[in-house]
Amino acid sequence: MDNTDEILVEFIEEAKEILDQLDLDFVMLEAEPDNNKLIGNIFRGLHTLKGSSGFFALKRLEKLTHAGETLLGKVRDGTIAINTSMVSVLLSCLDELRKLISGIETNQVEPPGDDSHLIEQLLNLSNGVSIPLNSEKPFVSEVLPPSEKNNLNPDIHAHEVQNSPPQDEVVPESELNTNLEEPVKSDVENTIEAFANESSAPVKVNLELLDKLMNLVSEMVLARNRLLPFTNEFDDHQFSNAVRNIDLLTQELQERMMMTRMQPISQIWSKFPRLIRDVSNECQKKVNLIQIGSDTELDRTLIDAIRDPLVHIIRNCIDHGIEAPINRLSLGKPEIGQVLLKASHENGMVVIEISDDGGGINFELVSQTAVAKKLITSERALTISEMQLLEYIFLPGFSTKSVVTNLSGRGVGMDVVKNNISKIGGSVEINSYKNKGTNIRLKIPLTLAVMPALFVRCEKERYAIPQNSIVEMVRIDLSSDHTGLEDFYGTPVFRLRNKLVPLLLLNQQLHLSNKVPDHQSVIHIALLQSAGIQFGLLVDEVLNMQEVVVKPLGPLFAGISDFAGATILGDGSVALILDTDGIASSSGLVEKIQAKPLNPEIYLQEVSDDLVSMLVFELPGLHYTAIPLECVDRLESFTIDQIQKNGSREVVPYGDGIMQLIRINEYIDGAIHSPPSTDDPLSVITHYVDGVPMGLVVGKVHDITQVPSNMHQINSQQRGLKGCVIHNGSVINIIDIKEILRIKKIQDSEIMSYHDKDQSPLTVIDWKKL
Amino acid sequence: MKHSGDYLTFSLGNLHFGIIATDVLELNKNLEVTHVPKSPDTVRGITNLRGQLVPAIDMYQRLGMVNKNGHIETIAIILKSRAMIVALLVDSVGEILSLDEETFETPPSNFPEMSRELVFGVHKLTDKLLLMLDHTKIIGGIQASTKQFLLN
Repeated sequence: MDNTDEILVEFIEEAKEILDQLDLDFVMLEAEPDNNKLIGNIFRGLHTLKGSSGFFALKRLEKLTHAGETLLGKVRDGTIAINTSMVSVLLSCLDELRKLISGIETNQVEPPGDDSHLIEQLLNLSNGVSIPLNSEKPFVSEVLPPSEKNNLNPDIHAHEVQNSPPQDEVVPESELNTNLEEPVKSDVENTIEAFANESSAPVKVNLELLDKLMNLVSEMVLARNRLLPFTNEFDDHQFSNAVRNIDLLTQELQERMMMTRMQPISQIWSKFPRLIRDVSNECQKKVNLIQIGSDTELDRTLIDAIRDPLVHIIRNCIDHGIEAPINRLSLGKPEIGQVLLKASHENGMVVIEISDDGGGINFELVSQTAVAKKLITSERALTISEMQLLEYIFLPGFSTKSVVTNLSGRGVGMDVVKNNISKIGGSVEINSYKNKGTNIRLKIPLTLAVMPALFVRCEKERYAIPQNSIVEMVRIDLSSDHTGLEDFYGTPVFRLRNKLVPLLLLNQQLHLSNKVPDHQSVIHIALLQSAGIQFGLLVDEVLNMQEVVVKPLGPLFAGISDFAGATILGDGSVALILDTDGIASSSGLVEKIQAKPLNPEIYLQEVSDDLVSMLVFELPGLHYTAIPLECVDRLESFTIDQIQKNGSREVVPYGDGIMQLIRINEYIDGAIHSPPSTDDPLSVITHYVDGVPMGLVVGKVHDITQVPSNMHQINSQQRGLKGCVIHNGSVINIIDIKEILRIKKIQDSEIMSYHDKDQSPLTVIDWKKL
Repeated sequence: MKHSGDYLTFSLGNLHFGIIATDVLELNKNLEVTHVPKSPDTVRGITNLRGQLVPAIDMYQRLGMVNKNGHIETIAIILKSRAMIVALLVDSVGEILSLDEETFETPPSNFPEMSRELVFGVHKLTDKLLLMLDHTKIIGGIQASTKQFLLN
């Protein structure tokens, strides 16, 4: 019996594969009804199913496949031509087969039921009787009432007992194959093809074994890392060579091993032609699906996670996006709409794009719905940008459809998309243009096994915080900060850009100690976004960023929600990975924040209306200097060695070209024109003027701050400064970048005329170097 | 349970214990143990056994004994119990003994309750008494106590 079980399991696996393939083939057949090779494939698939089901005495399966086969036999012979209604019947036949197979998988016996109606339809079709398209419902067989079920069951059992073959009767697989291939002998080409594929056919490997191998390989990498330093200690050439060899082999082993986890995205995409066909038929729209990059690979655990989001998006594309054929024609678009699926690798992420050429998102409707649902006020709705409106689409229960249909209107779709994607550390981006279509970009990490994490220290241990939940790192000097840590209904909070943020003390959360930071200390806070709230996690020290391999902690620690797992570091020691969701909820913070919101809505509006973002930095002599954030392209750091000279100008290689450095303290009143020290790296703000990068050399860069947009102008204007603002009691000088560049230009031209006299201290330092 | 067979002996303080040898995978010296906050006292932490995370059991705590000499256990017995691999931290490991039924006795009734749960009997040897431990109970008990601990 064991043997039969095993064969049955194999059969179920095979049947599933065949059914998946048939799904694809049928949809393709609809598009090209004359493709004889395709018909042959379908016929062969059904025949294989029929043959095996006879072997296992699966009567329903056998009858149904037989009926399907009869119809296809006629199609293959050219007696009847395939049409949409025929494909629909065949597809519902497939659905029924799938139900049967999954029933067999769970109970080892066929689920009871009656397919006579479906079989009748199939036979009618094969006899040339056509049936109307929309009467699909009756084909779905009904489960019989329990009484009949009981009558049926013994019958099936009886069959099984009768037919469960004794050991010696089991047909060897090779023989089985030849039997099955019999009816297709005419299609010699295909048989050869199948035969050729067999040699390189994938083998099934136990998942557990793969994981174990994976584990060993990462261990091997660590062992290699420990071995490598020895090559420097010993001067033995042969030893070094041997180690180098191991090094290379391990590296390749690791790469190959990673590949075993990767699966092509076509695994889920292959189901989409069928989905598109069904959905578009239901909406009475005509849609073409184009797939690009279906061989893009990603981790197999991720494949499952993106399946649902993709289904939702594609449904939305057809239901909301693509217009009805008549509307499309009147808009001058081709009658058949297009959905494009595109997958590619980008910067170590997998990017999946889903675009349609439909009507785009109706932003007016979205804003009306948002107002109707009291999410925004009607005044705000007039000023809100399209980008901000898009955020509402992701809210649960938000739907612009007034009628709930089979397909949409419940407002679940985009919520699922956003949730599932962010759960695996990805992001969703939407672009939509009226009457042109919508483009949705999903960015997904290549693998879940390795994730970037930030290491922090708390008491004596290192802990890793997954990077995808970190918003930013904040360092607060309590001795100079005016507000410091405050108490909000028993929750410690701190101020960040005038917003209150709740704070958790990691040492207390983990029951390590009860220490609280004293008023003079400098504290480090990781600002986290997790479990729907933003909160700060106070740690003792911020260490480094590193990719980690997540390993489960095992059953002995199962109940501790603060950890997502642990990772093994390069030196072999173990560090725990914090579960930010778990920490947020187990600390009770989530409930507290939901009960008493820290930042009322009104405040947010103030931020967006009256404040501008400034990057605050130091200059020699001027403590708080700021530049509007919109003038800042990037922050860079250069060592003195990287600075080169172009005539009298200091330049650094930047991108493909070079960038001129401007020491802005020389152009601002009040700043000290001190020669820079040669050791520290220079902090440089890049600012683009007409597409040309300029590097503004500044002192220490502090933070981005929201400051009031109306500045204090002091009567006699200071050179290089636009004015100043008061922020948290200190004066922040805002530089006038245009004026600085103007002065610089004038001086440059003066220097040109006094070329020989150039004696600035900077030049002297650089001359030494050259 | 069978009372004869091959047993690995180890000691904690001045007590000697025996544990069935067939389930012992290896012995490991100086394992680096990382403390897991919020875990019960009987679990010292987790340790890296060639890429596999293995919980390290504080045997003094588990047996309700006081670690009088205060030094840290030097050796870990790695064993497989209920499909889970664990490391038992002990002071020292002795030889593997083949014991038979003759020297075996059930634990006296005045044994403390906690020990009676884990010690299924005693082998009287010429030079010492060997307390026989049931390792499945050692691990099973912790899982139960973890749950209890978290409920509190």
